[in-house]
Amino acid sequence: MPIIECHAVEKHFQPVDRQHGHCRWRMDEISISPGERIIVTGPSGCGKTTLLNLLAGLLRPDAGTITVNGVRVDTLSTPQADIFRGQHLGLIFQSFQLIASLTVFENILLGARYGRKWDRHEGRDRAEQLLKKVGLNERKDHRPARLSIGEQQRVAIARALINEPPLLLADEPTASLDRANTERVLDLLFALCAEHNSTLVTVSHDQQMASRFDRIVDLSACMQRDAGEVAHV
Amino acid sequence: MSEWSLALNYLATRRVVTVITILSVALGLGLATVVLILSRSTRETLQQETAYWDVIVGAKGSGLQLVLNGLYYLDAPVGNIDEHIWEHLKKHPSVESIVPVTMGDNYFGVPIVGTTHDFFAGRSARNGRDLLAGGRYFTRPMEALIGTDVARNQHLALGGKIVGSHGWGDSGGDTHAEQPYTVVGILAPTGSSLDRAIYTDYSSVWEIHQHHHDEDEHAAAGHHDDEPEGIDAHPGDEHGHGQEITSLLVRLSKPGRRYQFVEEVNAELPAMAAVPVDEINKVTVTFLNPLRNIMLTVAYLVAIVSALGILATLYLTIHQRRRDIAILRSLGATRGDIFRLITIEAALLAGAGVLLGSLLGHGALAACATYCLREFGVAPAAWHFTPLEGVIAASIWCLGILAGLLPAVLAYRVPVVELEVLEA
Repeated sequence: MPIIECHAVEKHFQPVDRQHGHCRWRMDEISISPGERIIVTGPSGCGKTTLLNLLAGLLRPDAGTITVNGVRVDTLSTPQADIFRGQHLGLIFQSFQLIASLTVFENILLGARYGRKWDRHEGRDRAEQLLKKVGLNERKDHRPARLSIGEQQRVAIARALINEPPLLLADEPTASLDRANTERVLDLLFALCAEHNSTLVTVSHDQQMASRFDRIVDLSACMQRDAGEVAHV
Repeated sequence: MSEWSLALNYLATRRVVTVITILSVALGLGLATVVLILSRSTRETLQQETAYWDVIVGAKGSGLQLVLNGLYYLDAPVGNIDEHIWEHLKKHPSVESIVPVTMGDNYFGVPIVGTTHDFFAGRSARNGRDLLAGGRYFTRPMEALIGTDVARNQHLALGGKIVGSHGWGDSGGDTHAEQPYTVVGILAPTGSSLDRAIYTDYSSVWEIHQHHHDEDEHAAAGHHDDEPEGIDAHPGDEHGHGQEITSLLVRLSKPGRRYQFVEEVNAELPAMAAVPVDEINKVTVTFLNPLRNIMLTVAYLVAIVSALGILATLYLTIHQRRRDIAILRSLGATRGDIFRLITIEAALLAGAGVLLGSLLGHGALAACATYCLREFGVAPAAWHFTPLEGVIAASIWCLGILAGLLPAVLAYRVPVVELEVLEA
């Protein structure tokens, strides 16, 4: 059974400049199996982030169906979508999105708090284990500002994985990193996803990364401006 | 990581604003606490004196002045009454005990009160303990028993000499240097007017004034220029009458008959009777309660302003924290979780302010207790908690939480996807 199934999904946008009229993003069909490592590519503005937002329940489609881990995401209410994200998804962002006032350990614990999967002690144990796995055990009491860029992204990965989610969505996770750190972060992501059999969907412009993934999904033809024909995925 | 610890973390991050907000809340409750305790202590101090004596009898004039002078030594005597009235009322069937209070002299402004042992016996029985801190009660003429404040402020000890001056207050009247009193006892602190006077046998006061009167006659001068206007404060004068008394403190066998007793005295004797508790209630209703209400209104206004401070503080931080709220939402926090988080912050701010305010209010009164007793004759019960204080504290806390609801709703309505958590 696929972990992600999308059918005839459409999302309509009104451009900010309003000069180009209506925009429509459409994806006919996509199916992703558990444990797959997918990279989503395409030029800027083609709707890569739109796809992640739709899968995460942050956006609701105007048409079509989206099923993630057996849940119809497109029909969830806002509170249901919030809880769904905490329980089924791990999110990783280009700019890490760590909370500056919390320590590394507390940032990771936040994931457990809103994942609602572990009790207090289990959450702390999981956070301790992940800190060791991402090699930041010595820096658990530091605040994000004192970490390097690569270290901050490793904290974000630990936070995303603390609930052992079946699906990990990563939006340009290595865009801020140099080549060496990119490879290190990818190694870590792949290893931890393999450990929990998590599916990884990553958005990236980096063509060099593509070879390390199982499948490439190109969204170049999904966005149509001034409402016309759209290419199908 | 609970929402409480997350809320505490956010408050600690903005510690300057947090401290200022907490202090503003604390100021409101602290002020209310001070007002409540002071008004309560003042009322209790006043009632303490009126609790034992049912009626006070003195010269015709103001009942309130009679009470303030006879029980609290706060006002000049209305005048004097003849000793025969004392003798007459002693035989009244309703009288359980009757005590004379004779004034006319002072020691550096401290009133010298002539009375009998019964004056202390009643108080001692009421308090359930001996009133003496040291020495003994006066047993012979020209022996004095002094209040604890007098001993401290006038640096008097057992065996010390007191030379009285004629008149009320520190009016600089003639001194009775040839007839000094000897301190034979010091009273334990009571927090009442007892601490602020010198007591002696009433016959000593008479004796001094008889001696003074004889000297005056000898000098062919029958009037004291330094005597306060309107006061014939010569307890020892004998112009064909008996000795004089400033007032009589009366305890009735049946307190319910006090008004009948007052009517009888006022109708049948050349004196006036007043019910102390009624006179003090008039003061409470006329002056203390309105003053207390004004001060409480000020305290409530401060509390409302501080609640608005909580609102402003949280409202502004919501705008600064849109990114953090979006992160929490992306991790699975519901709108309800965000609403609860902001409400908890408001509850913590208001709660800390309430705790600090209570501590500040009680602490300030504890620190000033000695000063209040010395200057105003009121010893505030600094660590006494009243139900009304609890109600006000709870109201301020609720007000703070209510003030947090608007920012909480604002945070609740933050659309997570518009915050660009997931960058394009």
